[in-house]
Parts: sequence; structure tokens; C-alpha cells
Amino acid sequence: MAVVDPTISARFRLSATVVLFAGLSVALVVLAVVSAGTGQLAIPPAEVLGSFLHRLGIDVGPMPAHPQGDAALWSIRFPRVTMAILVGAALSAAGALMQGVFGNPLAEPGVIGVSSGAAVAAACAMVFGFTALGTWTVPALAFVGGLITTIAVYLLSRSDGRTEVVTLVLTGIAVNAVTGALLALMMFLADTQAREEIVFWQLGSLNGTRWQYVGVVAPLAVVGIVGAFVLSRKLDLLALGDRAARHVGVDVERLRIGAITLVALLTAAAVAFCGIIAFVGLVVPHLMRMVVGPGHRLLLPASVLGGSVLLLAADLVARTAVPYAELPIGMLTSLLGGPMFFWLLRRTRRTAGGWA
Amino acid sequence: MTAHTLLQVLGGSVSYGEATILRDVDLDVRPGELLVLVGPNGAGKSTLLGVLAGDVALTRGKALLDGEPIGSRRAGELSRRRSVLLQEHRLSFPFTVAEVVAMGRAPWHGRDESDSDEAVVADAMRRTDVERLATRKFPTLSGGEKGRTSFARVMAQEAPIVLLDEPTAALDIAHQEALLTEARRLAREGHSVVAVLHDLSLAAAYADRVCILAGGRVRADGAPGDVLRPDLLSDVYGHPVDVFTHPRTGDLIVTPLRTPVEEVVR
Repeated sequence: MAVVDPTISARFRLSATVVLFAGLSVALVVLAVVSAGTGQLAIPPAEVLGSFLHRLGIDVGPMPAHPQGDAALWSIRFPRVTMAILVGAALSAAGALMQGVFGNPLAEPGVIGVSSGAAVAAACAMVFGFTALGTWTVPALAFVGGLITTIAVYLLSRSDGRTEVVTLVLTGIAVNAVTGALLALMMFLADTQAREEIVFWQLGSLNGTRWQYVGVVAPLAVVGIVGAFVLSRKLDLLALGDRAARHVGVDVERLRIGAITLVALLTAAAVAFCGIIAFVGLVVPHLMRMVVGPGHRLLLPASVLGGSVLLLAADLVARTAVPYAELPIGMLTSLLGGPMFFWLLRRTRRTAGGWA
Repeated sequence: MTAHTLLQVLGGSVSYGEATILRDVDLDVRPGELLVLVGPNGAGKSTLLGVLAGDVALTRGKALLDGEPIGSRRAGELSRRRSVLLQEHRLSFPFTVAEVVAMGRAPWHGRDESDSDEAVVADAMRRTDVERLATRKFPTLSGGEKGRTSFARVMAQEAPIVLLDEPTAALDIAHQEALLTEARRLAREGHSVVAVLHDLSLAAAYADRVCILAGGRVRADGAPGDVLRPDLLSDVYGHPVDVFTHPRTGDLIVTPLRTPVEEVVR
């Protein structure tokens, strides 16, 4: 390894961090505007901004020229864009949290079956027609399902204060097998309409997002993300291992319970209306860690921002790649994330000197 | 002496099912003293250190910190009273050496003491000779470098009680001496330092008090010169051991007696 002047590499990381945050923020705004303007009814970016600003009471910029433009933006496009931002942020934050708690960079709600656990519970609501809590019924069930699965995976895959890669991945396979079977059972029990609903929802999609759904997902995602920020300092210490973390004052049990609850909350927020969108929580924190380092106080905000950008971009591709049709976004992220997971697995194996 | 005892184990026993690891152990940890625990493998040294750290609960007996049961203390409170160096140094994510050392300041977060964080971390890194590793990622370090970084973290914690489990393992001779010199300096400044060591000559050179454990019991507890006796050590380790004074320095040297090869062959 070449000798690097420590002050130079520290300064490099600092400036890289600044560039990353600035770049992601710009990308977020640009993608949001472009995505809102793209569709069967094309609206130029200036008109999108104009419509947005006018609604805020700032009379700047042109209003959409098309008579239906403003309505299309506010009833279809904006809720969808907002949902993409929220779900991307929630999934990435859940991934970063989970990796911190498991002490393993490969932990992710989709990979280890937490998303599908939440999905099973949510599918129950669709099949049996539960509506006790109104719009909140599906998210509430998804939260319970996600929580149960996270706790199960945690208990099954941990030994001696940490989770080994091989145990985690095998536990994920087992959990996914069980939840997959339960989902199949749900589809078997469902009538044709509910079956259709489950199938498409399982593939993940932001199609048909309404403000009402955003109103449910937003508070869940915000609470989860703020909670994650509160825990970030302690998550850093958890990297020392359970015992050493306790020696520097971390109440490890309480931290774990808190973090697992937040993971379930964030996963429920993402899964509730948009279905299973896998690998976002794996890919984004990993890429961010390469730039800002493993400290959660920077990693979490970077992941939240990066996740929003990734999902906005993925949704734009999903809507435009095939004319007059929509690709399921969950399929897209898996297409991208699957090979990445494979590469990470190989790399982790090499650097850790085995499957440890 | 009781008034000065910070940490105390009274009739402490630890058993896991059938296996008894510690039996009726009595031990005082006093300020201003470097106490070294020695003994053969499986004697219960690490378990005893775990009891002192508050990690291992006693099956019988009492473990008291400042006169109160150690198990009743909260993690945050404990971390400002004692720091611990474990045998294993691992890290799940590639934090840099400087970041790892700074983790030792976590107990003081949000308190007045945190004003001196930077100075304390820099001082700890200088004393353990890891300054030039500051920006290296912890997982890329050698075993000895990891050990020194962890020791720097423990020093940065600035706790009055310092517990070290085999701190010299994987260190070269120079760094072994440097580390124990630091441990003794901490004791001179008023800290209570407890270290598990395997090298009996090192124990003799640096300890104020040596406690010999064997089979989960305390076999001897006193000044190095009184406790490190050939007859006792030979019995405890099940191998003939000789103790003599270095002709020039006057240090106590402990060495196993080796059978010449020819005799073995015959």
C-alpha cells in the first residue's frame, strides 16, 4: 500500500463528503422536477416549478400550458414523486440501521426476509378484507409482520454477539422460504381480484399513489428516520462488539430493541402501499459508506438522500423504459441489486478471509 | 484498607451448569496499584476480570463497586468508573484508528469532560505509539497494532478503574514494555489497574501485587517477591519453574526449567 499523507486523505474524505451531499441534493431536485414532468402528458420543467411555486403562494414562473397540466401534477405526479422520495429514504435508512445492529454490511430488509414478512401480514389484510383501521390497516399489519420477522431473524442468526455472513444469508433463505409459502397460501385463499392485487404489489410499484397514502407513509418514515439519527452515535459504538460497546456505556439490549423496532417501522412504511422493493437498503448504504466512511452520523443522512435519488431514478425508468407500459420498480431494483449483492458477498468473503 | 477499596469480590463463585469456573474468590482492587492476575490456562483469570467488569454475574458471593453491587449499575454509569481491554479486538465496520480511539470518549459525551476530548485522544494515541496509524482503517492493522489501538481507546476513556485482559498478547518486546510502563504510570496517578498476564517475568517487573489463580481459586495474593516462589509456581503450572534475580538489574526472572534433549531421547 502506498504511503498517503494522512492530512491529504482526511481532507479528501471531507471534500468528497461535501461534493456527495451537494451532488445528491441537486440530483434529487432535478430528478423530482423531471419525473413530475414526464408521462403521457409532458410538462416542461419550468412549468412544473411554476405550478409548485404558485401552490406555495409564490407567483413566479409559468403555469402548465395544458389545461389539465396543473391537475395532473397535483393529483398524480407529485404524490408519486413524494412517495418515491419517502420510500427510498425509508428503505435506505432501514438498511443502514440493520447493518449497524447486525454488525454486518450484508443485512437488508429485502435480503433477509423482513420485507416479505411485512408483505405476508399486509396480504392478510387484502385477502381477508381487514379494514378496522382504515387506510392505516395495511401499514399497521405490515409493521407487526416486519417486527416479528426482524426479531426472528435476529434471534436465529446471532451468536456470540455478532452475526456471521453465512448464518445471516442462510437465515434469510429460510425466512424467505417460509414467508414465500405464506404468501402463496394467501394467494391460494384469495379471490381473483385480491390475487391480482397481491401479485403486482409483490413486484413493487409506485403506481396509483394518492396523497392519502403519502399521508400515512410520511409520518412513519419521518419518525423512523429521526429515530435512526438519534441512535447513530451508539450504532457507531456497537461496531466494537456487544461487550466492548457495553464497556463504553451503551445499553446494548435497549439499543437493539430500539433499532429493530425502527427497522420494522421503516420497512412497514415502504412496503405498505408500494410492495416489495428489494436491495435499495443494501446498495445505497454500501455506496455511501465508500465515500463518507462508516460513521452513522454521516452515513444515515447520506443514505436517506441517496435512497431518495435512487428510487426517483428507478421510478422514472420504470415509467418510461417501455412505452405505454409500466415496469414493476421492485423488479428493476432487484435486477440492479442482485448482482451487486453477489459481488458484495464475494468481496466480503475475500476480505474477511472466509465466511466469517 | 477497606476504605480504599474501589472494587471488591467477596466469596465469589461462578459456575456454568456442572462446570465451576471460580470458587470462593476474595479479591480487593485498590487505587494506586497495578494488580496482575496470573495462572495456567483455564484458571478463571478472564472470568474474574469479567466479574470485575460487571459482565459476568456471580453464582454465589458478592461483587461490589464503591460498596454497591456491580450488577445494579447502569451501563453508562459503569463506563465512567471502569474501562476494559478485551482479548479480542474486532470491528464490524472499517473505522479509522483515530475514530476507534475517540470511541473511548463516548461515556463523557454531553458532559463538561468532553471539552478535552481531542487532547485526551491525541495523548492516548501518542502514548501507545499509534499516531502514525491515525488514518489507517482498523481492520487492515496487524494484531499488535489492533491491540495498541484498543489500549489507546481504553486510556482515552479516563476511567479510575482499568481492566486489561492479556494486554501484551501479540505485542513485540518494546511495545510490551511500553504498554506496561503506561499501565504502571496510570496506577501511580491513582488509577486502579488490573491486568491478566501470562509472562511471569513481566508480572514480576511491573506488578505492585500479584494474584495467582488456579482451578478457579486464589492460590496466593501479595507482593511479587513473596508470591512468585519456585515451589508454588511449579505446583500451580504442573511444570518445574525457577525464579532468580537478574545479576545486573536485580529484577526477578521467572523461567521454566527445560529438560535437555538428550535425556528426553534416552
